[in-house]
Amino acid sequence: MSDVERSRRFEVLALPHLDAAYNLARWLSGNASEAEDVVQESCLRAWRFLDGFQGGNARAWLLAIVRNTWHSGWSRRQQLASLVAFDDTMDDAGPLAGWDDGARNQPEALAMQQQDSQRVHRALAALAVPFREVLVLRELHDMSYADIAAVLDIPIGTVMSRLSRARRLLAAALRAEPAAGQRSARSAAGDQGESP
Amino acid sequence: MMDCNEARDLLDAYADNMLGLADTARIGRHLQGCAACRAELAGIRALGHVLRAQLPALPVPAALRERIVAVLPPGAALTPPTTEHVAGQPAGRAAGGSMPAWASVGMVLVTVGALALAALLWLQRPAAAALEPQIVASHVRALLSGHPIDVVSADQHTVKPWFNGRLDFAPPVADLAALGFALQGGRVDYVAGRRVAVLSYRAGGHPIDLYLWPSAAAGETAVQTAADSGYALAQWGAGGMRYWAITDAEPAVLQRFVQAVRAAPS
Repeated sequence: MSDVERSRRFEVLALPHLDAAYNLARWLSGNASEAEDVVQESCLRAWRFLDGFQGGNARAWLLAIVRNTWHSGWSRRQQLASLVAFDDTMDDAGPLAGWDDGARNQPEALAMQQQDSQRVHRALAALAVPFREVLVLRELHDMSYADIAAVLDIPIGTVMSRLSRARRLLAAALRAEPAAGQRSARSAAGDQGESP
Repeated sequence: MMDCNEARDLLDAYADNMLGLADTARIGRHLQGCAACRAELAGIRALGHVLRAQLPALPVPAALRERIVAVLPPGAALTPPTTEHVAGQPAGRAAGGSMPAWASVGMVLVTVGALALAALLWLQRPAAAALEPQIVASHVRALLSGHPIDVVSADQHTVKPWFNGRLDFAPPVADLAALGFALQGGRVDYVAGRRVAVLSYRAGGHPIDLYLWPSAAAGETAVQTAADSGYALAQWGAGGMRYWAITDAEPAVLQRFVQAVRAAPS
């Protein structure tokens, strides 16, 4: 492939997904300048690995590169990731808290509507990386399970169980830090949340 | 009959529309008779809604995008290529070889210079001529995909919030049903190097797609019409937004549509 062809291909395959790449890098790394470095490095890799793109979903292909780039070079600097050993089989330890377990006083859907942006941001950023990335890909990037499986390099069944657990952990975290107006009501409900 | 344990395992996939027809039907039947699982499902959906509504889209910084584009080796002008833009890439040319210029360390200063030049030339190029084929291609692709609309709703108050978190702007969504243009829904598409809102309307049997995005350069510009590949197009600028409308209906229909959009309170 000549440089010209390569550049055209890069332009068609990768450039339309730069926003998605940056968004994922931001959520993985948690800060803007690191995300820029990750995206730039990822674009270099994508440009090099263009021959390896076998067709299919170009966005998933680019996001997989972003994720691998971050995991290989930057993730070690993030303390949170190393503090919490991650295990998909944690599910087996016992039943998960249901949506309504901690919110007996009001329906979960209503409680959710009262979440503000900063709190949601904090709660998602505090999730362990495997949960955070699956949530970001599904909820913010609207990706199919098959594409998420390709990006994360895990079976679809694992995508399903991890996503399900991630949602419940995030909901529990949001409940554990109630909105100012409902703080007293919630502590009365005895919600202890659930720590990962 | 499905029990709650089995249903809970599939509720997330059900909420995400990722189940097959058979499982979807089974869950649907279970939900009819199970308030607890309905609450669980509502919680899953509410969480997704909160995430999309409360977490802002984080578009790539323009400087980073331009840095990446500007230093690609020659041939990588944004589609469609313009001679001016390619000429504005001395950095990429100089680097040559088998790697783009960002591979080398000391390129930053050269890049900044190239970037300034490229940006200047980019601003000067005739935007309309370059956009028309993109709009046509996007419209046709959406129709061919059988999935031209991501949020299906005739209610402007459903369509408008759907864009929250998907775009870095809030598109005005007008209800034009009384004027004969029924809102079908909306989607997000990629045109002019950015994410744009697309509102789908229908006039008789003909779909009309309205593309819009904020543009400082748009200003208030008069309506320009064009015909391309059997489609009628119109574009204009208003209220800091750039608009493109496209349809396979008669140009006169499009003209009425454009008047209706422009007259609608935003």
